[in-house]
Amino acid sequence: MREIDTNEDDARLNPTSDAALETALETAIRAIRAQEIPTDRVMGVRERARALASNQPPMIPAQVPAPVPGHAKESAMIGGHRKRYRMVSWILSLAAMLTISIGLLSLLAPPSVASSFARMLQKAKEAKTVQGLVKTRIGESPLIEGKMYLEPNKIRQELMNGNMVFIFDLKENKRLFLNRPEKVWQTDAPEGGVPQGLIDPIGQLAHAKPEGAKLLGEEMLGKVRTRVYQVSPVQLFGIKGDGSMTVWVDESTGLPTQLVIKDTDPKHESEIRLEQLVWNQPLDANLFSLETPKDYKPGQIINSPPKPIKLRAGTMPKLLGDNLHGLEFSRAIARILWNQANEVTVLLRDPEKSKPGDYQPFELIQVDLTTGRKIWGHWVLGTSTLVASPSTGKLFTVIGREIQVRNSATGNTESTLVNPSIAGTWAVSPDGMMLVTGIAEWNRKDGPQGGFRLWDLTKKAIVQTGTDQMPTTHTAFAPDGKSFVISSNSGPVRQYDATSGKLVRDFSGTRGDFSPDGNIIALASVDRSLVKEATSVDLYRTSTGEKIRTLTSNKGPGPSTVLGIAFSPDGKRIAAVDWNGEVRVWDVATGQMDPTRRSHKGGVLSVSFSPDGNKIASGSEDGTLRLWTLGK
Amino acid sequence: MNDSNDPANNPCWDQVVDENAQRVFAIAMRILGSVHEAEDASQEAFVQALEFHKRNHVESWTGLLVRFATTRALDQLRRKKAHAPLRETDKVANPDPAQRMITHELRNQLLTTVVQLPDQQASVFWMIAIEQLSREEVSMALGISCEAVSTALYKARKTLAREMSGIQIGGKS
Repeated sequence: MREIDTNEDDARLNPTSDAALETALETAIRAIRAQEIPTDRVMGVRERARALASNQPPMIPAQVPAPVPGHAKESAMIGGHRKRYRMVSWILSLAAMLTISIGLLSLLAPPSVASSFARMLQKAKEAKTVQGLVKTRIGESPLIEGKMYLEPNKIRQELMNGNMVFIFDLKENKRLFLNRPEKVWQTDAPEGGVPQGLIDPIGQLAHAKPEGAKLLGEEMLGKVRTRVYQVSPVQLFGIKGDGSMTVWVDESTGLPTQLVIKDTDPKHESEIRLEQLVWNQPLDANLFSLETPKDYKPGQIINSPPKPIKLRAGTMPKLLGDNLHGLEFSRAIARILWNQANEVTVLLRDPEKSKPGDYQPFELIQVDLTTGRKIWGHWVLGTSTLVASPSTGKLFTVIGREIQVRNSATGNTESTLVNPSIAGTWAVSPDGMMLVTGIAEWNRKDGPQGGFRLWDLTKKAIVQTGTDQMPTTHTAFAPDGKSFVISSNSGPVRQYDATSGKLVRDFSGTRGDFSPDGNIIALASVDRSLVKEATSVDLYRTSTGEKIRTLTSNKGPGPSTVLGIAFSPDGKRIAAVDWNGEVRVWDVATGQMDPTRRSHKGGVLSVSFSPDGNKIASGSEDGTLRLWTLGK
Repeated sequence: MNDSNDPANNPCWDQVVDENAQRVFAIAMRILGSVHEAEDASQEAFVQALEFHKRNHVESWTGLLVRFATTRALDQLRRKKAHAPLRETDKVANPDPAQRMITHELRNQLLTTVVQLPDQQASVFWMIAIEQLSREEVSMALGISCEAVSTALYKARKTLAREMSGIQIGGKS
């Protein structure tokens, strides 16, 4: 089909001999290739993927003639499977509906919450055994599910379909780990004993104070009528969090049947669920045996005991040298907002090069640029975007699905909104009344999804949503607040009407931002066919969609990825930063690039103009925030 | 000329799955290093392929699945990196601790650098260097010319070699 060009140049571009590769790269490639693939898991992958076809709508509607015979055959086959699965899913949804209708939450005002809760606690403390399902989620990590068995001072957990077994004996201070598929055992005696809270959530219950219990209501869990209590705060992983514990108490037995411990603290956002608890059923003593199985061999199963994240002291900026050309942070500067004459708000993260075990949450810091003094600082987990609303003096950050509205003078969270999914990118309207969040999801059923959700901040409600095929990676509001744009990694940038939510226009590009007067929209070019190492930004007229010009730079050391674009407040200049470490500035009217070289030692992640437009602040992976004075 | 008339080019879904599950899972597993995440990424790749099939004619299921598995897994890794460090693999493959450490370190370093590459370069590099597909296969999978594959591979290797040249391996400098 295609002509394969094997000229000299091509051969030079594609060294096939290993010798042509750098040693480290070569070793890394070999290391990855040597990685063992657990083939026993392929079966599961296969089963799940096979079931997909049955959950899908018909690939080709039956009445539409299929374009090629092969397709028709395939769709008929899949349709046959589908019927069966649809039946199953119908039954399941009926069951779910029944559960919901029976389990309507009714709020009751009990005579004495404390005394009934105290009775339950007493019973729980006297329990001989407990067993049930345990589900743990920490931060963004996948859910870990398994079975749990408890006896006083003894715990057994069977995780990952029972393949991993952990047995803890608190009295003997000994742990046994078993890897069943590989027949490997490992024991250890943790220093300072096993923190009980880490492994025994039921033990947490015993520490709860009945006076703090709040009755939330009643709920049917399957066929079990339960009373739902909330206790707060609780100890989790040995750290005092701001989270809460919810307990479902079976009315017939007076013992918990379900327990959920949540901690929303950004330092260790986590959730532990214990479900289908069964109390005081005799357990096989062998379950807690610390003896190592005979046909197993010793080996390493866990590398290090799970440790709670220890937060370092907050980052303190230093002035760069003795002049005022910037600040040195020990962490990469992911975002910069230059919102006041001498103050900037920065969002810090660990540089990509730092050791994985040393990662710390993001930090939000307000700094005085003239003295390098830190005005305030907060730890924030899970946010990589930071936006400000100058008119209302608010800052916006995100932890998971929660959007925090912060006071820009103190950095303190004043109110929160809960987005239906993780919000990765968002923008606020100039009047501070509307917020648009980008959708970037890879839903198991629907595949990749993009689009937006438009919030009315006064009503705290979503007023418009739009969907798109490409996950949204960047959002920006027009200065007049009447429209906004969403961008995706492969483009196009789409402009939507903020009132109707209707698509106004598409622009070809990957990262769209408006000029201060809203007349121009600047995009990182997708057409990089000319010089891939050069930074290139396209300017379009917002009202007509016509391209005004392309701004390009000279070649950089590697392929350029534009990570940030900023207009000066008067709209006359535009700055773009990229992974090559360069800060480029152009005159918007002429397209001339400012020849002054402004560069960092690492990729540049963020850029912001000073409010008077005479300076630029750029933040880099190398941990420096540099200030550049612009000529007239 | 029209290959799609040949039933072998339009196998039923189960057959598509059976033939490609191992490869898709292996790609995701190598990129993500975690069985659970690899399982999720594999499923996402199959979902995406089905979605694609609804709108387009599929020339090569293997090509399509390799492409989606690579891009999905890299996407997932990128997103994960914004929140959390790379995790130790769920399963321990190499018993020698020193070797394991080096392997782990290099793997993390390579992945850290790969996710910073533009999408196409990252996919091309992965498919050729790690999955050892031919350039023609990659060009089919990504829908780009062989020449573009070559250029992307060259750029990716250049960047990666530069980024990784400073690493010390196993204490030797």
